Amino acid sequence: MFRTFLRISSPPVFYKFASKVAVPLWITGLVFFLIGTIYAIFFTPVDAQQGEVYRVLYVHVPSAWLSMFIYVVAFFYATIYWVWRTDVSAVMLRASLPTGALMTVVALVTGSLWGKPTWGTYWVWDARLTTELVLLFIYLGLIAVGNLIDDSSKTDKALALITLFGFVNIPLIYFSVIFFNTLHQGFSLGATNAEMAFEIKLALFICTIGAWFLCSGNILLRAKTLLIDREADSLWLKSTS
Amino acid sequence: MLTISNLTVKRNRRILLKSLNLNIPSGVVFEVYGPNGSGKTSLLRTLAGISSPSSGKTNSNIFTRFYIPTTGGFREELTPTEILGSFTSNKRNLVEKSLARFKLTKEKDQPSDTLSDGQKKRMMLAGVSVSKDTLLVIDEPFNGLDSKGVFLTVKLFQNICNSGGIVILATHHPLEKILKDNSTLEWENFKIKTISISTHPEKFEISQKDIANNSTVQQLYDFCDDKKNSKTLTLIDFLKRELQIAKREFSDLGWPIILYSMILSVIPFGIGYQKELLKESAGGLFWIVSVLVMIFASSRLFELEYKQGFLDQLLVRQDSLLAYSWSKFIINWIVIGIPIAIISIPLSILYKLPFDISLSLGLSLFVGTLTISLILTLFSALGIMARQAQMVISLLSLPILVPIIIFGSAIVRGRLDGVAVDNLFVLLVAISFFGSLIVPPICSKLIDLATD
Repeated sequence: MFRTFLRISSPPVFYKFASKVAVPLWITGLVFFLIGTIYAIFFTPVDAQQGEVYRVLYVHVPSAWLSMFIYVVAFFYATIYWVWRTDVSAVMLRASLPTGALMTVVALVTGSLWGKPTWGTYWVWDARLTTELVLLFIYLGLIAVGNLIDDSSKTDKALALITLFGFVNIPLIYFSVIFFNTLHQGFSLGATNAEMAFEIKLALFICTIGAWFLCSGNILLRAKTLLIDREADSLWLKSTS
Repeated sequence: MLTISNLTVKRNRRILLKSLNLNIPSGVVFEVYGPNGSGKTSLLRTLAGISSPSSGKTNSNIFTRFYIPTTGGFREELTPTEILGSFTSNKRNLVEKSLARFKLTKEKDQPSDTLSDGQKKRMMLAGVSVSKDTLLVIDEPFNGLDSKGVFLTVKLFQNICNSGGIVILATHHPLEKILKDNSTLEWENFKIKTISISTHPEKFEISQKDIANNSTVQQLYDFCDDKKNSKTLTLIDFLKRELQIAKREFSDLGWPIILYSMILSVIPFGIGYQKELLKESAGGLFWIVSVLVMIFASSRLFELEYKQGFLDQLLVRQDSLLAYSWSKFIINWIVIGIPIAIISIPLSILYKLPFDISLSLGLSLFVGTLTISLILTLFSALGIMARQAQMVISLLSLPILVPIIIFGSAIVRGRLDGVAVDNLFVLLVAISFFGSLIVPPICSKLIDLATD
């Protein structure tokens, strides 16, 4: 297990792996996602309270999950980079941030589109929404760090350090925002308590898997490009191309 | 003996020097020649312990090191006496004596930005003779020096070598040639042994030479007393230094407070004068404006320190970066945070807050600005590396400071609603306590990284 892990952290091995896997992953993700959404649109029952609009959920929930999960992924690569200083983990850290930010934006936009007909407003200062917004800001800040520092070896270390620090801060933000929310007014998410039909669960499951694959394909493709950019002078890249 | 084994020096991923193996015995001048851009300074910075080598190693950290860059190496607001004072634990008279030797007595209490380039170099050289370090690393030592200065410098090299130290210099003027050009000076019994290396990418030549001139050794400083003179700076020293700098720029300290008062008095023009509205929004507005003003004021915390080469000196002399980071955020809090907290109490009259609630606001800002100062110190350290420091600092610190803003403004709102807010105060204190444990280590890592 540890040995395969070590092997994949070598840039040439990772490059080959990423080239082989990225596009198939992306296509699989797309197929899953299309199947999932088509199934969701035509074969799942309509929600009794919310009507058709609840179907936003099939995009909203996977993207919201992924927006948080990708930060965990970034944290994981930041730790690896900080401990072992492998190039591949730095590349993966940088590659995962834009996808994470994208998922956060999708979650926020779909959420507010769903909120208008359901809650009667595009935005409420609910704990979840606010944390998600702050998460987006953190993603953007990290991307800014990645772009605004010239020396790439310094960027990696700084980025890893700030990602680690940001992770410590996220529970605090979540906690504070809940506090902020309760001081104002409570807002229940209502719909989640209802018993979900099997079809809904299945469609959600397929969509989530699709989004998952899409994101990994996306991240790997970006990582591949970043790796080519970094290792442009190295011999293995010249011999593979 | 300085051992360099298998050292490779890179800059921006470009290899400048590949697997250099060299032993430099004590008492030798090590000269580095080479065309511009061939890696002289990079090699020097590696040997001085500022940059870490990309592979291989040296044992330069067993020496006490002193590094003189081509420009700077100190904050220009400070006077020569203050700068040299930080190099030694010894009494003041030693500082004065060596400043006199290098003909700087008249200038000793002027801010050093009034000195000429040559005088600045002399001051740093005087610093070597004060700290009595055993490894002198010096970049272009003879630039800007008159012939008397050159004479003193070469004598200084000789002294260091005679007492078993090592001098490393990067130069375009070989020592031999310097001696020949200045033959009118009384060198007397001069003897120095040099090893020189000429750097070209991927290729270097090493040669050895004995340069002799007969002379009696005139002691510029005496290593004879074997006392270790050079000192490591502690938190107290750093705080003292920060206060010295703040004292020089005393009139600048008021501007953030004026800006703060200005923004807060302008806001009612925008949002209206209704008593209830002002009262309700006061907490949030005071907190957000204090965060913004502190961001404006803190973005240059490390910029001058970095540009003027002081951060390099910290690494060369193996001072504690942690103590340095601590001193930075504490001073930032004292200089900006606490005044903001105090001025908020009278300012909140504009927002129709009752006096006891104003006091709570001031107290909460007093605690909260400590955390704000911590976070800003952290991101200013990151900002050293960034093209747009101000942008990076603001983009990162605002989301991270969300909890502080929420808790802080909730204190005022809670007081207005008549709710007990003790737990929020405890929370703010707890956050700043844990923050001051977690943040300075990260900050010192970032400083280390920035100077790499």
